[in-house]
Amino acid sequence: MNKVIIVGCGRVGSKMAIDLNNQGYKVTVIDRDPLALRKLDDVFTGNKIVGTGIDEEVLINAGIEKASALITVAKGDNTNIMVGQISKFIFNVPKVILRIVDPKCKKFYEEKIGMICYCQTEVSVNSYIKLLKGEEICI
Amino acid sequence: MYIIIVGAGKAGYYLTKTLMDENHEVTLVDWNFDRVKKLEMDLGDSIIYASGSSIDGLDLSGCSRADIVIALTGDDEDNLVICQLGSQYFGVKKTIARINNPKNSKIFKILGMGTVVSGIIAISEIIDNYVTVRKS
Repeated sequence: MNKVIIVGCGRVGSKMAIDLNNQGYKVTVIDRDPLALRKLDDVFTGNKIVGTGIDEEVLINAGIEKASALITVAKGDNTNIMVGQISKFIFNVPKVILRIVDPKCKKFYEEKIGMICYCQTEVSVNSYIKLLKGEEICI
Repeated sequence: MYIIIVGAGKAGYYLTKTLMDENHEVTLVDWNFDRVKKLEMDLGDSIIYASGSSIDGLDLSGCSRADIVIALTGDDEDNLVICQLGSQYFGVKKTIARINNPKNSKIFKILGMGTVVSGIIAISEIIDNYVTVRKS
């Protein structure tokens, strides 16, 4: 699990890139907005690529053929779904993780298409309810 | 036949009118409120405001009884999800996806997307044929 590609350099993507980079992973971040990649300045020593993750050429430039994992946390669910499937079924990336905000859609892509999905809506709702009840949440 | 069309752009609107003239039952779905309101005057109940790339939106448009789902939005990632949900979640027999970027044609085929239509490829081929015929 050495080379990781992250698609989407928002708050989640940029922090994850920096954390993984600090943990010794070789990280490449893709975002269509060059300004978004500025979140990585100073601390980040991995690669940055401007482009869309649904473009095969962009993914090849990012080294997808040698990547051991790809995590897609772009803005829209559908972008992540398409990037995830291209990575898993066309480039055979060993581990592909995608963010899907819509819980129903997440369930479908997990159960029917066999993707590994993370749904922050579910996770945060559970956390809010725990906090409401005075229970501890794991961070 | 009951046909759902997602994406009320020029192609979606024109196709809806054409299929309605052929006596098909059609529902046009779009997630742009102003566009839906504008077209409602002409299409009445045949257009609905919903996200066609979500399970809830497709459910609202009656996807479980649809014979055909046509994804005509301007974003290929949306068209991919519309057709996958249509065929594999709602069990619709036939799905047709528009491809905006010709590069995605191969990807859609590998992912088993069924019928795909690319306006750019179609126009290019027709014009190319015309040019070739004129030359020879």
